[in-house]
Amino acid sequence: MTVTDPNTTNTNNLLITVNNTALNPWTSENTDLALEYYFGKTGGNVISVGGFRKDIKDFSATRREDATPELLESFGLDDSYAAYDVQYRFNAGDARVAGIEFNYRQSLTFLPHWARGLDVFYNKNQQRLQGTTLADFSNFVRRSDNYGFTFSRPKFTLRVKVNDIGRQRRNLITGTNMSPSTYRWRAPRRAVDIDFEYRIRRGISVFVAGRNVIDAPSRHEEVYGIGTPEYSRPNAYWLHGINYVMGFKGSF
Amino acid sequence: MTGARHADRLLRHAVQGGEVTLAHLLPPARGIEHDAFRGDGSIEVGDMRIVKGEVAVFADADEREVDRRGQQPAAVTAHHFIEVRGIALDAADRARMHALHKVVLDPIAETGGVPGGNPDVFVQLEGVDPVPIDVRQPREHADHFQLGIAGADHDACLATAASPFTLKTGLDLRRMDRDIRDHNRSRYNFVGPDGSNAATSTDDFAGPYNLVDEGFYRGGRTEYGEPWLQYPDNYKLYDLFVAHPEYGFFPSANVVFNLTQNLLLRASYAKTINRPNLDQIIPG
Repeated sequence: MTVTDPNTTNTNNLLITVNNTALNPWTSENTDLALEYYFGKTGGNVISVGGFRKDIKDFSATRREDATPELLESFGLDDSYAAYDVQYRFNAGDARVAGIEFNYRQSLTFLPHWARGLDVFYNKNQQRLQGTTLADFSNFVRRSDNYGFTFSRPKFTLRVKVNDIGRQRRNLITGTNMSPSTYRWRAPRRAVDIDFEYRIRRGISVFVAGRNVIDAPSRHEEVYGIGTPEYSRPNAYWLHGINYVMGFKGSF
Repeated sequence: MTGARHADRLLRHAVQGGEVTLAHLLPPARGIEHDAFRGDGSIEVGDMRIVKGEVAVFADADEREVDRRGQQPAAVTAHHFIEVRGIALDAADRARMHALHKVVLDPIAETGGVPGGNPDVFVQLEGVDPVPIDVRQPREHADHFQLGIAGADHDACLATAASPFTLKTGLDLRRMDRDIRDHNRSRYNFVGPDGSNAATSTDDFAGPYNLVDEGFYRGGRTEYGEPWLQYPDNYKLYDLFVAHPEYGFFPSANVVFNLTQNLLLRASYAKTINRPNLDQIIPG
């Protein structure tokens, strides 16, 4: 049990955090169905579509509520903590996640000779959440897209990958001056990664790997609910910049 | 080393019911520098605590500072010691020693700001009764996993589809023990010199700490008052089946239909379980 300092000036955050030893594991029944079609001379090209469903039972979530005399007594605390909130994890109920996946990969062998070695790929994941307490799936991503290409020649390989993640709803926000159904949201994000490898001679190559080369915020969060004006939605940015790794590879 | 062996023998002797008197004790080490102290364990009998520990003696303050930064100081000597805190040993205390043998650790050594801890600034939580420890019981410190998997593949042709398909299915039996009961542990709250509780104390070190037994200590992080867990039977297989039959059977199947040479249809089903992390269910 953790109790925040009662002498704090931030009286909105008087909190007792308790571990729930009776927390049960959650179980899930997962069903997947996919249709895959392979084509091309080598059979390396593929297009597939699939669906999945996860029926989740007893998933756990965090609850924060006013301290009642009964709750305080169960934790061995007296009424002097009546102004506190109590936060604990509990088995929130059942939920269902259902979605579809699409995947496509092809070598563009029909292009002119100068464009040989070009592969493209695209995959998409779209899913939907249904349940009793939707807010408790704080890391749920509704939509995710990956696409890009690989350009391979005997001397080098270039790979470009784009990752698009849709808007992501996180935790419910309550408190003074908060409109109903106010949540923390993670804004859509696009990241671009580039890998390049140049083979100097057999067994020796030099490479560059760039991550987030368009310098997108690693995290951009907004807090809003019903009627929250646009200008007051931004909440936090995490800017971690571009990351490059360069090096030599050798096999002897 | 002689001091350490003596301390271990003394602790063992006391835990097994033997009488401990001042004559058994090593000369207490005084003037211990806080950065240099490391408590190994202690016995608590009533209001009295016998603390076993190790103290490093540095040549000067600069070397002590080197040690505080986690580097190896140039010169240090280690001394093992035993120290009695709380009350003086008298006949009544010795009688209580026979009645209440309880081994506790001393996380206060690092956290309380006082070498070896200071029982005067700790109070036991009301309504939490310490459970006497049977030190002879086996102690186990980790999850147990016993896993058995039986699988089978089958290639066959469906008469209706006239195409080969692969069926994979099997049985997965696993036993996962986890015990999270709050036994063998006395809970204490750190209080300030004014006697207020952790929540209202103005002391910089105020906060709840747990004093835990020797078995919890091994491999644990006593400096933060963290308990080290035991695992008798909370999720043993039989009890689990009785309490939650739905947790005991996790079937899965994976079927691939070769509809044509280039077209595959995959279908799968699996039931899975996800247990809470330990830090979400540790009592406290």
